[in-house]
Amino acid sequence: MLRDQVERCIDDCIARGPGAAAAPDAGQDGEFDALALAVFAEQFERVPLYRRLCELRGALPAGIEHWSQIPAAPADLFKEDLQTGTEPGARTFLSSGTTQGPARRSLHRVSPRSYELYRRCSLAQFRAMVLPDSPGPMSTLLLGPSPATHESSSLGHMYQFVIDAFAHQEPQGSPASPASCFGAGGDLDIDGAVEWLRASSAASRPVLILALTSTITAVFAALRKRGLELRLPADSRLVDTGGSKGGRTLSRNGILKAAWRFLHIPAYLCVAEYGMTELLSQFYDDALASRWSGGLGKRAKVGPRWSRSLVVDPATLTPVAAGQRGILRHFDLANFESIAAVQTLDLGVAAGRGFEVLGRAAGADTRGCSELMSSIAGAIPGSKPAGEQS
Amino acid sequence: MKPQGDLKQGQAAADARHLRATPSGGGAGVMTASSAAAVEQAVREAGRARARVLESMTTSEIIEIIAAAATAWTQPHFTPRLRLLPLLARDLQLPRALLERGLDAIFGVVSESALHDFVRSEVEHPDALEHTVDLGSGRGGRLLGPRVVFHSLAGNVPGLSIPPIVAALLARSICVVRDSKRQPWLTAAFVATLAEFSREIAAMVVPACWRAGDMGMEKMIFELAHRIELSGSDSTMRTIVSRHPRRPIVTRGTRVSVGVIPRESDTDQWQEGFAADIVQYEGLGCLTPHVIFVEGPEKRAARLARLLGIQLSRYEALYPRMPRELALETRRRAFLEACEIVALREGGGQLLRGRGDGWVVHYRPLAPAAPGPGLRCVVVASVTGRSELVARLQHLQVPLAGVGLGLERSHRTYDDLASTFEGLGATWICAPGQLQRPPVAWAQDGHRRLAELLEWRTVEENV
Repeated sequence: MLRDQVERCIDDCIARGPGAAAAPDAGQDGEFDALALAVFAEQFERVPLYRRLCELRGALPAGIEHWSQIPAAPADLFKEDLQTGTEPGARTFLSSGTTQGPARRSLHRVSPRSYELYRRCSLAQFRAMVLPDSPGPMSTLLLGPSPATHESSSLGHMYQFVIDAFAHQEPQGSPASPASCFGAGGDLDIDGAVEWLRASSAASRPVLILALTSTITAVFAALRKRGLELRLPADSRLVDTGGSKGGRTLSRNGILKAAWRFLHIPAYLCVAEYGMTELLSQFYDDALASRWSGGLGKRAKVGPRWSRSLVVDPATLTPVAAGQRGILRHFDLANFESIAAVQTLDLGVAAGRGFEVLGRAAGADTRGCSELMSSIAGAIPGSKPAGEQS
Repeated sequence: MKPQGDLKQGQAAADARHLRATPSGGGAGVMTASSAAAVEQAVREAGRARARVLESMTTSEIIEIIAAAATAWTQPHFTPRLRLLPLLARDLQLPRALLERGLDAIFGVVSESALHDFVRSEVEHPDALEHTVDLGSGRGGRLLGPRVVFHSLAGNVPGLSIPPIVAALLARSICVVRDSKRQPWLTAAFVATLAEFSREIAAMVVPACWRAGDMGMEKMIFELAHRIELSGSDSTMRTIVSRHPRRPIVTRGTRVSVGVIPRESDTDQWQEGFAADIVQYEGLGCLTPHVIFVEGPEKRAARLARLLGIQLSRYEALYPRMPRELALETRRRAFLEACEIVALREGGGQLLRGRGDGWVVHYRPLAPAAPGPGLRCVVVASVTGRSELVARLQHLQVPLAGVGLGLERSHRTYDDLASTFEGLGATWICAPGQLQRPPVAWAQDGHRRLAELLEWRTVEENV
């Protein structure tokens, strides 16, 4: 069965250990290409809306010769009913609020089998990109959603996988681990977070902070306001996701500087994650993984071996020349159950072994998990309430 | 004062002068001021020229000079035009042939008769433009514009400076024109042509260019100018206006246009005009139709969409669309994706697109009046009747600029319809194909260009 084949391929990739998705012309595409084409043909038959989209574009499986030619569904197609993941026990992931309001959220239904695959993919990629040095169980602070607070957040489930697998478990300790300072209403307990970090800086176990870019920005603002410059234990690290959203978040450089100043976390231990509800695989800064493997290249977002990414020209949807900016397209085998080829409106440029995200296209709705944060507007100078475009 | 020589001689002189000019030096023969000192110096010189114009030049003479210069620019072999076209094509990323049509439209409407009509329509006492008239009670005055008018222009389409310059010169005002950094050429080149006919008139126009957000220049010009007019994006203008809360500022912001084919009109005769309006300036100006409403049974709208597609294909073959910057192309892609999704979700419509998505016509019966990205993308919608048309236009997300009305001007319902659109905010109503050729007198955003400049003043207090 094709599905078994796909999972075997992913599991083989996981078993091979850390490694990045190959570039399209890296000459390692044979197996991936064959599988991708088969997955496309299968999804073309099974997902009615995707099939109609392909027909609308005049792109049929018989005419597709390489994975890079597979028609990519607009990420917004996930706002429609794809009629996938309809098995009993399926979970529904919803994207967080966008400027179009809650009624127009992306919806990704995953069967129990796909959910388990999501868990394996998430953990493998997290281990490869955030924990390549195997630091052991870490005191963990969650400044983002969890299944308990945001049942339909795919990010929340991913955080839970990570906590279950890598967090030091000491719920009664000081600091307690894992700890969460993020509520169901999108409210961040800043005082709790600051106190937790203060307690952790007096301990010896390295800390893992899982945050939204917006929440860690708010925590840095609070630390600045209180004049606190903490020194977290060596090997502590920060993983943030969501990216810059107008005036509500620090830039990447701002995050790196603040992490060093307020938490004593060096830049190479700050890893930004880029993911989306529509995809079951994630992309991470390769700063830490590169350093661990002896590389010192420019920071880039890297996906797992079972995915591919392209920077395409929005006018023609063909790959741009090296160094040119375009919009990002991803092909994720873990999306076997829905649609594997997803076209985003995120601006990007190829960099190193992956790509760099340059932001969201003007005219596209703002989206992403930083939209989850609601109650700390005002904690950051110049900030606006969630849901408002800056 | 008479223009220096007749048109033929003037054009020869202009040619000769521009042959010596170096466009890369800041316009063809006239320098563009880019520093506060340069602008102030140019305005001082303009003041001296203005005094001579006020003293000796009639409105007819001014009109003759402006029209002669404009006519020169409509000549296909006019050397400055030939030199400027490649620069404009490069900077605006527009096909040269479309730019040629654009220049014909920009300058073609600046004829002597049109300018006389312009004056007659906006000035109650045209004599008072030329000399002091008795205002009663022993008082005398002239209708004059403010001493210095400043225009800051957007860079999306060429030629935006021409109507303001014309109005300012007729009002005997000094006109400082700040062009977009993207296309600073045309104003200076036109002023150079004006200079061939009258150095005084040309000296009253000060082409200027500086980077957006230069606070020093902004402060200088706000102190120097007596009237400020801005065009550009709403957000940029809001920012500028907020910096000068006590200063009256005329703003011309983001606007869109639509097309309408009423029930009483034949569907099959307007596609060529609409296609021309859509393609001109790649849909980046406010006079591009974004949605075309067709009254009557849905099959009429569907037919127009197909005919429009055929016409756009012809244009694509003649003038292939040139790639634009990433932000615009991404916006276009977002629009196209949204059309695809709507087509899949709703059915009943048609998504027509050219080779390589060179053009897009989305026939969507129930489409709202919403602006698209331009760039040869248009939506065709169906409305059952007048009240539905009005209701949809009332929900337009951006203020209305123009309406391309597919109905014979002589039809008995034309005037009623035009009044309806004016009531909805439209300021330019015309046949399809003419949208991008507004007259000099076009009251963009409801501002009458000449009438709003004029006040009863004495020459002494105004000089």
